[in-house]
Amino acid sequence: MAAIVRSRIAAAIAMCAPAQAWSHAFDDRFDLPAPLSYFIAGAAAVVAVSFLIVASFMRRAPSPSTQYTVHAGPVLGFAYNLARLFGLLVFVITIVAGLAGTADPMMNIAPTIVWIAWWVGLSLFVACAGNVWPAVDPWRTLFDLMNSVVRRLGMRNGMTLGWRYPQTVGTWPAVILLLSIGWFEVVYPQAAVPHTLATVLLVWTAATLTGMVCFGRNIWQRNADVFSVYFATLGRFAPIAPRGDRAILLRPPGSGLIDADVGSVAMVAFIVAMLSTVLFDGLLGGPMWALIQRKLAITAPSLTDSNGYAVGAVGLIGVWLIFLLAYLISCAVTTSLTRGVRFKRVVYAFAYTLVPIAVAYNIAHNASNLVTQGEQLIALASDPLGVKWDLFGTANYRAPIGLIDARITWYIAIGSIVAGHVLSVWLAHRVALREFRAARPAVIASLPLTALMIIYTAISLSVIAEPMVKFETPDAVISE
Amino acid sequence: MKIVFFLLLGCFVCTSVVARAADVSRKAFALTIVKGTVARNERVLKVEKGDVVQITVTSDAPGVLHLHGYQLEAKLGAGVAQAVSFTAHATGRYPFEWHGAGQDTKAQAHAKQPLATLEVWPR
Repeated sequence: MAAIVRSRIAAAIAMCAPAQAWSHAFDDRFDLPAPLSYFIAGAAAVVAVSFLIVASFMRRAPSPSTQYTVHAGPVLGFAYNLARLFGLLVFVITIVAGLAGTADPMMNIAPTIVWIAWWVGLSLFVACAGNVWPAVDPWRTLFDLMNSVVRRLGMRNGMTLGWRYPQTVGTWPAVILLLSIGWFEVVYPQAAVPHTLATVLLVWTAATLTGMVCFGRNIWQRNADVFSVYFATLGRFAPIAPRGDRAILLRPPGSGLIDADVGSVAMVAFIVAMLSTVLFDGLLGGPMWALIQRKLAITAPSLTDSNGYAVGAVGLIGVWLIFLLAYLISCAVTTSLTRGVRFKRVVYAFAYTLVPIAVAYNIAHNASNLVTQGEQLIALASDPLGVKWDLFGTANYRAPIGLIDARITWYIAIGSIVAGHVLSVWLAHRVALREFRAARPAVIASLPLTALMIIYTAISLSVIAEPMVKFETPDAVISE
Repeated sequence: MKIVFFLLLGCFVCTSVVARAADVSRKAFALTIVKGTVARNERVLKVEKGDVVQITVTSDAPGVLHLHGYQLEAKLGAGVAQAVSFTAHATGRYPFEWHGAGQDTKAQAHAKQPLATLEVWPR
């Protein structure tokens, strides 16, 4: 299944390189697959550490994690307003560039902003630092602006109609939207076409503002606004969190994931979708930037009829359902091995502990790319529309290849996957202790989930090392 | 317990960071393009970072050879050998694309792989 889609992508790349475009067509992904020794070392570390954590928990319960509150005073409010302005500005630039700029995704700033800076860069920033999305969220800012204007005009309820959000629908719209984004990003060849991207963003703008008007901003953003739910979930992993208006909270990474349970089946499905879509991306061999290659496929109209959309959708949803089923099965095994905690409770309680694995794979898969491709923003900032401007004198800057050595990339990839796994296993044990009280039942309860995490992590590792098997040893080497 | 953990971590790091002497060498390859493809044994050019790569390219038809990433380009006439030489300064896997002059682009689309791949491994 993946192979079909992949070959389609390769075909698109092969045919969309007209002679003149070469000088810009270097945004391929040049990553070397991690060598077998790294893979084995990573896998061994994962299994060893998993058992070490289990063994250490046999003896003692962990102390609650330490947190520090830092008072920032009025600086925080100022930074918040600055961030809102920045978010709105970037949003306007993206839309204008998408609609009015060149159709070449490499020369237009819109695809790089959306897929590299926002979808990869901001995700990793939110996970590793803190959730700044509510501040830079342009739709939230737009709504708040309109709301305050309407209020000033004398309507006391502002823009909100105050409809009741249907309880049964819950967070499912966000789940469906996240899977759709995954499909758009990985399968749909026009995802990096500036005009398509701007159109999709405008459609979403209309939809999300309507939703906020109907149900109220907070209710809408908690349930249907996929970006708010997504960044809020990543933000739970982050070491920094806001506390009130004037202070921030410092905490160990991941500790925010065990403060509460997910509260709904839809949220479980959402977290599993976060994990499965990013892995599916790697499985396709379709890295973030290959899609910007694919956008080049617009120049190849014959591609549109050679389908693969349905195949991609089936693959994406299939991986998600398998992962979801595997999680539910491991929870069912936990329930049958222990007493006193119901199945539903187990499913809700442990779901957040999968987030570190998703974050780790995201880092492993995208870190080097983010640095290399993100650097392209230096040139794009000078010429956002691709019309030969040179606003800051950087329009001809070209990011050097090999800025990050392959060996460093491998260390980051394997290191983050192992670290993410350790964190997930650790958090799962903490949740088990909270739910099952005593150490012994807690260890038994978290064994099925630990096994599942080892499987998820093994998949992450093999995706990082996967393309390795495709090439045979060359015998054309003649050393002098 | 902590000692065991750090020992394992240490082993992991040490086995990976094996310092090797920096002996820069020359690596010579041939790419013989026939009908827009090369022989199976010429499809992967494996070198180490810092190596001087020398490629002798020939083709049965005119066209342009392009190495992605390194942004190298060689215009070829039919049957005329050309030497391409450069230092492999950046690690990674870089595809060679062959753009045959007057060649139907649809035919290229069916060639699902790049002409060849340059693999630059860390030392």
